[in-house]
Amino acid sequence: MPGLNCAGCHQETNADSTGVPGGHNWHLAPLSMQWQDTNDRPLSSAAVCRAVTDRSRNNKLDGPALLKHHEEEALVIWAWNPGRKPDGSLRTLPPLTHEQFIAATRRWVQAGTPCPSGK
Amino acid sequence: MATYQLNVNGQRKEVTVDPSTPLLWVLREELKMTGTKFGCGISACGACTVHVGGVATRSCIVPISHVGERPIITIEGIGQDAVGRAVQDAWVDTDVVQCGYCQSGQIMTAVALLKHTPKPSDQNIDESMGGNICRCATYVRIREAIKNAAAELTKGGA
Repeated sequence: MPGLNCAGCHQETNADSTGVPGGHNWHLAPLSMQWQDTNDRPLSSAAVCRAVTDRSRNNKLDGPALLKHHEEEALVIWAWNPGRKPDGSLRTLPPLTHEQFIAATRRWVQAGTPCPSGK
Repeated sequence: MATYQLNVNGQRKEVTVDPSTPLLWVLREELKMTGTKFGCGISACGACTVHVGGVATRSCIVPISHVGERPIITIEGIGQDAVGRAVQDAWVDTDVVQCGYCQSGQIMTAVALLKHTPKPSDQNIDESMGGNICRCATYVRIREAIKNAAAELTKGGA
């Protein structure tokens, strides 16, 4: 939005004193890459997988490019350094390390980025 | 405590504060620039909006340690450029203000909008200004004033 940018609150790094998360080029994904519906309900694994692998919706990333994205994109890596909430408590970390995440992504890409069946 | 060299409205300012101090309180308490208002303190209302590096920014939740070298423009300095002056004039001519408490933030966001989008649509205005809350509900006049400022700037070639 022209006068209301993400950077109006989110800075280059987490602001732990105020609880505002931050990172370089902080922004939401476009709606075409959504992982939840308009009622904030998470989409199914199959739907998320389709969104991630559909090159018409994922910024034209193929398997190797998706792996590189997971390895290097600052906003992906931010998940393992999410900072503190406004109440001072730490944000929840993913249930696996970044290294484990990359290893799993590599196996998935080598298998041809298969998606679960179903809706 | 740490010492920071700030560029506020084109002037160098030095402050020595805790790094976690929000920019809003540096402006109001250290520099005694009280035109920028405290509203909600959680970036939800927009009353504290200033420009940091040209971006309309909620000063209540940005620690001073995150500002760096970026220039800061506040309501006290927004009239120094053509867009800021046009918005202030439009605000007066359109008689936007009721109680006035939120209006410095409204003007700062309106200027950011017009600098990015010289001829904003109603949707542009609603989306950009939607984060600036006004308990007096001056929204209709705010929209009108932004359009008046845009027209004046277009006429003037700014």
